[in-house]
Amino acid sequence: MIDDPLERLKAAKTPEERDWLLTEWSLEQLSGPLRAAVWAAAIPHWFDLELLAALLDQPAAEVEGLMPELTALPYVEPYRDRGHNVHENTRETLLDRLWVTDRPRYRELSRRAAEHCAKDSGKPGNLVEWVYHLLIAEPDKGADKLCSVGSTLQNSPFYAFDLVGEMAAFAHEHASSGRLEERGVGWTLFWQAHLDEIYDRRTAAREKLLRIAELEVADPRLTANSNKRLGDVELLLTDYESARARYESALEVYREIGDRLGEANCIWALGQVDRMLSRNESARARYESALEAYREIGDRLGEANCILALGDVDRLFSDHESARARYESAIEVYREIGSRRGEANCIGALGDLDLSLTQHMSARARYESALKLYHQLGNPVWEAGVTSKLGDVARALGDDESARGHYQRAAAIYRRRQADDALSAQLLILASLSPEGSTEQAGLFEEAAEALEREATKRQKPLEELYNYACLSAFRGDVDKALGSLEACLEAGNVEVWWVEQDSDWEGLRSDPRLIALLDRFRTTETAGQEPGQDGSG
Amino acid sequence: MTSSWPLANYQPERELVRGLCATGCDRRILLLRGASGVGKTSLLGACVEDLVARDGEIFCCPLDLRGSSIDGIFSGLSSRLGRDRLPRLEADMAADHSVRVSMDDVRLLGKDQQINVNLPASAGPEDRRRRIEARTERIFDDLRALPRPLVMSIDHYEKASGEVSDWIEGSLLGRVSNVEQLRVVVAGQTVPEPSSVWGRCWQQRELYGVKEADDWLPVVEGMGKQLPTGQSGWLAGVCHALEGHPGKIMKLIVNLPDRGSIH
Repeated sequence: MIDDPLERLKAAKTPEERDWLLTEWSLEQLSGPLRAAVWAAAIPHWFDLELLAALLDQPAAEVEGLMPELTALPYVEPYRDRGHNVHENTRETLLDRLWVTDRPRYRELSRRAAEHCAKDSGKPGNLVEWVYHLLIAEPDKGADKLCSVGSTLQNSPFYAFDLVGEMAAFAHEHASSGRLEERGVGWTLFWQAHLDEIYDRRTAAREKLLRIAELEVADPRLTANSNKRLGDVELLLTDYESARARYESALEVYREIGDRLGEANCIWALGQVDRMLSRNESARARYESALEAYREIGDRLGEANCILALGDVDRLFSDHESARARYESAIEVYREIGSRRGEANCIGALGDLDLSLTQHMSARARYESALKLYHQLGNPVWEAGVTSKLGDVARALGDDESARGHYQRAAAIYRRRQADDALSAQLLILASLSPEGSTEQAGLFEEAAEALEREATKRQKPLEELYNYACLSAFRGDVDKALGSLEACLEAGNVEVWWVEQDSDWEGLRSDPRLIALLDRFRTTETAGQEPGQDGSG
Repeated sequence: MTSSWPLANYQPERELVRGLCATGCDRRILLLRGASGVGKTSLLGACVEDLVARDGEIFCCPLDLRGSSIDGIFSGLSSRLGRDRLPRLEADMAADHSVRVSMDDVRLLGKDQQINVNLPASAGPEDRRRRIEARTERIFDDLRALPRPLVMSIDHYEKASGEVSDWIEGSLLGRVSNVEQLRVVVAGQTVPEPSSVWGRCWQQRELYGVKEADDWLPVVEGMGKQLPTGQSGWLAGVCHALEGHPGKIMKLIVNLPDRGSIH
């Protein structure tokens, strides 16, 4: 040791300064070639002899002698199946320093790393690592690849969300250290938000997508994609008007850049918003327009989704025969393209139609068939949904015991999957089947209340804005709380008047003048609302 | 850190890992959370060495989640336990097929190149989920039939992709309470959020580094290093300044002069 590092550490004013002093001191103890190897090895997430040689621009035979010393350093560790890596704390310190003091060198090392990854692309992880290095070596091209590689990986036939996640996490390292230009930051946020949405972290997704808008990046595809995705998230968060504005904005950009698929997807999504707001005539027009666009570009899945949605609208207008024909037609397309989920959804929709027409045995057969498909698809939540409908059939047939069994099975799945809103709904149905005032019923109410509290926390919304909370309060006989919550739900657009009017949860309060007044107030403010059976042939 | 360096302290945590091997162990999930550099990887490395030494009593499968996929986890289990012990999983994996991803327009340093990677193919997101769920069922059928306990030691949880962390929290840890042979250690800067589905079979420890100079003295001696003479508080000063972070403290210790080199 030349001098005492402890004295240097004591003089450091910030943790970052201390980390650099420690690293600097540690580097000073190394020979020149080994020090250069440490700087180079910090560039990638992992390295082996070939990559290190490429980074140092030297033949592997010359670099080989450095490997034992390099890999024996206390801040170098083995990396599963890929060689070694510089520990993340030291790596971060080195990269931050290099970026500030010698940016051209950083770009040059990244260029060499990217070239090596492209050459050696058969190795696991090199595709993602290639994009990571390109973002520094050639920022604009790196942002292009962040967009296109992410799109390739998350689409057919790969659906490799794990690799998209790794790519976004790596790009985020650059972004959080201020090494990315704005387009790169934008696409990083986009893929992070995309994964947040897939894994039900909707609020986190929304925050990231809103940050893209703040960046004001001149990249129309990023603008359109992020607005479309933001609309999807807001639709899931039941923020319908915001979702509509996002979709309209995305639609305009997709039209400008001539992206027909993006355009069709936005029109379809606007139809979904209309459906949620009971603007069923408008929804029908959107679905028909989207159907035309999907057919024009030969997108069969989009086509089938539109036909199914048009069937749903027909059913809302009580045009049962047209609905049935649409569902049967959609099934054919889903089968042709091998979408078993679409097929199951159509069969379930046919079951709903049969149930509404009191064709109970046929409804049961359809639901059982859909259940089998959902089970094969391995999605327990979809299974739970159709299991609950089998409960509805049993209940309609007067077989309460069988109904209870179905509802309990559905509740067990929702409980296991932490699907709290759906769980609370099942628990309320089970409570309605329990003896009035029994301990069993009280226990079900209690669990439903706990589930709703968790759901409100997840959605970051007041408990009162959850419709099932209003129903729970009505069940419990707490009329003030029930009506207050229902008012909050109607104001937030989380439920429509027609739904409350047909929902048996409100039977006990149906003649209460306060409920009647509340529904009257919101009925008059509904815009172009369509109740089932209000229009159409039924 | 590599496990070739001696580990300072963390004895209570090592005991907890040893306890996972006990017959009838009821707390079969151990979560170890700590900031970067507190020595989680070294601790797990040392524990894995302990466990490997008990080959014959238990199976041990270390997994590093950096750059890992669920398929990678399945393959890791298969190669660690041996294909014959996971017959249902092996049959399922044999049916896999992969598709080549090609990225053109890879022009660097004036040369045209093409990126080619083989990845497993799925018929859609649902198909991918179904395949993972089905494979999970098969692997758990296999694990239930193991003749002795399996300890899965999972490192770098914070680096797991959303798909992998979802699988660990839900599919893996959610089933531990029903599979007596399975014991799981998860270490990371973040760890899975305990769920009611896990029952009471989990425990969690926070790691804050090794701050006592007394714990580091055996390491210094074991490495044959010489502390600065006439500075009795030097090691304590280092531990204090570096907040007990093993990675940082080791940077200094490794560069101390060898014992006997100063007279």
